[in-house]
Amino acid sequence: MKSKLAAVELFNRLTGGFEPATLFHGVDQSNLDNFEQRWRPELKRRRDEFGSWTDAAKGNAQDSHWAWVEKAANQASYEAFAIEGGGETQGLMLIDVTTHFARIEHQKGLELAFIELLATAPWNRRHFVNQPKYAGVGTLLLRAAVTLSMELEFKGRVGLHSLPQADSWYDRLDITNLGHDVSESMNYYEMSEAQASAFLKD
Amino acid sequence: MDRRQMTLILSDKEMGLLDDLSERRGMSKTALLRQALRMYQSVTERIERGEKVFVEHPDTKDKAELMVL
Amino acid sequence: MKFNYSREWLQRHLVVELDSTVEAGKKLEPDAAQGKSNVVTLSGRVSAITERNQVQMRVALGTLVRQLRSRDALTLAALAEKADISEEELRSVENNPTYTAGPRLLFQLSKFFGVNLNNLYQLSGETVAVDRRLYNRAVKYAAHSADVSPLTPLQRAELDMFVEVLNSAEAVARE
Repeated sequence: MKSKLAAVELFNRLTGGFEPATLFHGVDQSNLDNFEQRWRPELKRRRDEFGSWTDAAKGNAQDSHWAWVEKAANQASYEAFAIEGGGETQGLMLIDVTTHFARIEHQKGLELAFIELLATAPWNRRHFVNQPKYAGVGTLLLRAAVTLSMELEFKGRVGLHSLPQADSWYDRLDITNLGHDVSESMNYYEMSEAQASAFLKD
Repeated sequence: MDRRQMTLILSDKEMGLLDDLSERRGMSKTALLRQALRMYQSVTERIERGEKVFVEHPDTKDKAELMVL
Repeated sequence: MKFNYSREWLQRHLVVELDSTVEAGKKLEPDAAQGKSNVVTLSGRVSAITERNQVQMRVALGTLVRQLRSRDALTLAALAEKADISEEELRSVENNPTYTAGPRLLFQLSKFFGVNLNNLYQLSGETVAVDRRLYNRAVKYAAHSADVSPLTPLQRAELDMFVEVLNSAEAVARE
């Protein structure tokens, strides 16, 4: 069930101003439709433009991830969040709260909110389009993840695998880098309780 | 968020277990029971999808099926 | 669940986000770095070619390269020099089905022999999902072409047919 969590604001890079948007807990078919009909063609279009055979071949891996997102979003075992603004889904996040546990030594084995997917729409991505539109989607979704963790009494503990292009953001954040996770071929980051409280502080 | 209320009747042993677990996991009894519910749902979903759930000993690699439906 | 934050908090974090990006978890777009050949790791959620399929296709790839070389009457060393690739890599591609041919090697071979690059890439076993038809043809081709002696007329015909399959529109990598 989808419910409105909060009225938020996104920063429009093109106009330099803030615009209203909505953060939802849960997603519905309209989000999945938007995902399939607006996000995906945009990605495909860019891939064709790049024209690289490397990208075309790797497209198959991303295709399976697209299918996974739609399936996962319908399963009750994930907590889903979406940010909608300008009539579109600007961000999506899927969190697993049951099957992942903390790895940082002093909180090892304790429950945490594990971010399976944190994605902003293709037209917002700096390294993907020349003029990315909205900023703040990722930051707000991450805050939602930490807030959820607090709500579930996990004290803010959060875990995620960072996509390579996002390493620089997470490295500048107060979050623990536990290094390369061989099983996922990405860096694993985890927020300790102290880091989570610091992150939420105004 | 909508809230519903339920009265739970537990044996002494079950209550003791709940106290113990919630202390060990650092959360209230309510939060722990909520989490237990989610875990049960997660496992049930996987089994209904045809997956199997195992526990494995990290050293010996011995596997035991956890829930057989 | 309550969600509150101040404009100042967001602005503080925006300063950093504007410079980079926040994506985590499942990858929905190609790697920014071109020519990087990651082996894609898969969770239990997706189906993919099996290791056995991968070996079979690489046998086909190795056979193809070896036979094209034979057709053009080139020694391994001569081909390596003309196609500007290393002898060692070439030897590995021809004989070792556990070897992962790199993007540059495939590109050079594609250019030199005039064979479709996308299909070479699929044969190299790097992609997660492959065109079923290409896979079937590759397996059939490799089954008949095991030995290393000069091509018999029949083998030559089969080689030509396979090359045609690789270059035809039907066998192009599925989108």
